[in-house]
Amino acid sequence: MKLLIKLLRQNASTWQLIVFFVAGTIGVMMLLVGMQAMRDYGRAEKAADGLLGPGTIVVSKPVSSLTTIGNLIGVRPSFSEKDIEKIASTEGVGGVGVFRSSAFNVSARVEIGGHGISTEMFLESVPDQFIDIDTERTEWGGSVGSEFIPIVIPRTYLDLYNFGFATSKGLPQVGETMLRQIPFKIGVSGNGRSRVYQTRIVGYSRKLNTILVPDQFLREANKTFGSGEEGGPSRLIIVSKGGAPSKALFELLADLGGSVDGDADELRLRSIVSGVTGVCIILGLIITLMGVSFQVVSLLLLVERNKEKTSNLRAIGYSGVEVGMPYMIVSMATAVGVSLVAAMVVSVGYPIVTDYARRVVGEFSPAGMWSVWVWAVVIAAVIVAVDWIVVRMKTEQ
Amino acid sequence: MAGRIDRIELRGVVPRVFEDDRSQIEGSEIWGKEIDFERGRAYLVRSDSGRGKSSLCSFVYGTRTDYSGRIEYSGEGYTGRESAEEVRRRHIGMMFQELRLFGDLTVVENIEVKNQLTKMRSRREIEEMLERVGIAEKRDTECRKLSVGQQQRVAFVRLLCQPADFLLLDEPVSHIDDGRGRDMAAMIEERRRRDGVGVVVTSIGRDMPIEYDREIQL
Repeated sequence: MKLLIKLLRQNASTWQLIVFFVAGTIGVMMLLVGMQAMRDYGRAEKAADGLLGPGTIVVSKPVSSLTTIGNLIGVRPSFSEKDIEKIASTEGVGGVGVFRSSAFNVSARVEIGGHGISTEMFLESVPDQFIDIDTERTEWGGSVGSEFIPIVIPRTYLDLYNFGFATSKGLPQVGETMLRQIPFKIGVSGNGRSRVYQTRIVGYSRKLNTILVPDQFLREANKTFGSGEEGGPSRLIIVSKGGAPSKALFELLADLGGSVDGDADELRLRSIVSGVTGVCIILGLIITLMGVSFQVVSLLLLVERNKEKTSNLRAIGYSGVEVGMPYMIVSMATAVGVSLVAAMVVSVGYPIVTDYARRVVGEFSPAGMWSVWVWAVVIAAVIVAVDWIVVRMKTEQ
Repeated sequence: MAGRIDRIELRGVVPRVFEDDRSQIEGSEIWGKEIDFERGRAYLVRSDSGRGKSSLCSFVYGTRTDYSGRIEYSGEGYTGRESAEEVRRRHIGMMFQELRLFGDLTVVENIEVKNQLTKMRSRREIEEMLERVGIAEKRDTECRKLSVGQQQRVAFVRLLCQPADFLLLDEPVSHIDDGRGRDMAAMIEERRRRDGVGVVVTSIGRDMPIEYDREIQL
């Protein structure tokens, strides 16, 4: 084999090898990043937390001076059942959920250093499938009879405290995880009954700007502690199929006098992220294909330049496989080298990017980096397979 | 192919290039005729240039198939039971007229390229053969730097690294002086006596001086 390598490498071009190595590494890196990003994008959508959630909008009846006057005489603007049916049957709408409000007194109490702080508050709920946290992975759920009721608060509350209140008062800032550890109590009363529940913040919503408890709990609590009469919902959550809400939906909402909470930026960002991921994969694919094509052509040229030697080797008894082996060693070395370098760079660099993305986009658990290595092996195998076919074709002639 | 080739049978073989002009093969004892080469015997195939000596060797060696008729090896086709590579490693060896050496490799490396395939000779045996054909001092010289005669001797030693039932030598001494030619002939005779190989030598007039069993006009 040593002699064969010596014989066949005479016409090999080092710069061609370097060009393939550089182009191939860049291409494979982009491909790996694109594929990994695609997986994470899917997971972020599934987790439905924040900016990468499905095409969801929150619609409310706008509050005006007339509304305030109306409230005083007991009239609240709300969506009727007919309105909700119309929205649900509009093209592109995947589901409509109503916001349910607590119709009883709620107070929250937290014990810090033996001192208790308590405050009046309110609770709302939406059906579980509309909550933009991963309800399967959190301890979400509960009923009136439960000891513990989980709470989701808007992420903006935390930001408001950390970047507004704490900064201005010189108080320590608190992280999401830390705040989740703090147990507190909520007391509910009304209708001649009262009860205290243990509670804890289990998640932060970017989309739902309210304090959420499980829908099942609030339904039962309204019956137990409230008057039993719930007014029509003044806020709705609408999920669109396949991403962005349809034009027809916006027109209907305008007719119904509903005001869409500001989500345009989110939709735009989602399309940008999705677009960038796609472009990354396509560019990676193109660069990899160009790199591989260049390598294959270089290899072909080398085999062609060595045509006479190949023919002589075959004539003295070497098989096509034996003559092709030195080329395949070069092919395997470069393919494995390219994939290894690309996978290493992506393995180190990608988590840094996802950490940043998590801070910006919200919580989602990134896909394991093992897939990068699997893809790298697959890509190396494809390059070697293509080279093998080409070399075999030429050396068998 | 069976374990050993005892006979190479040519049955009405005519190079395609001569098919349109049969006058080219008039008087030939091989083209279009039935002739056998037997193991252990030596044949000298004589002809003027352009009558197909190299073609005959290539047809028998299996590197060309542009002929009509049939060539059988102990009653079987060329690759009856083994691959072409196996036939070229174990049964038939050939010294090409165009030599087919690798100019970038040294004399020893050129021989090793073959010997690594067949594992027939030790390094010492190779050195001895190089000594006998008078080219040992060039062992580390790249072949492209050798004269044609020297290259012929390298190709000859390479041929002798081939376990074989038949050895084909296409004008093996065309550029070699009589003294060296006699040395090479002696080595072929030794091989024939020891292993019982069949030898087919072509010549355009300068014959390798071995004891031929039959001289054939091509």
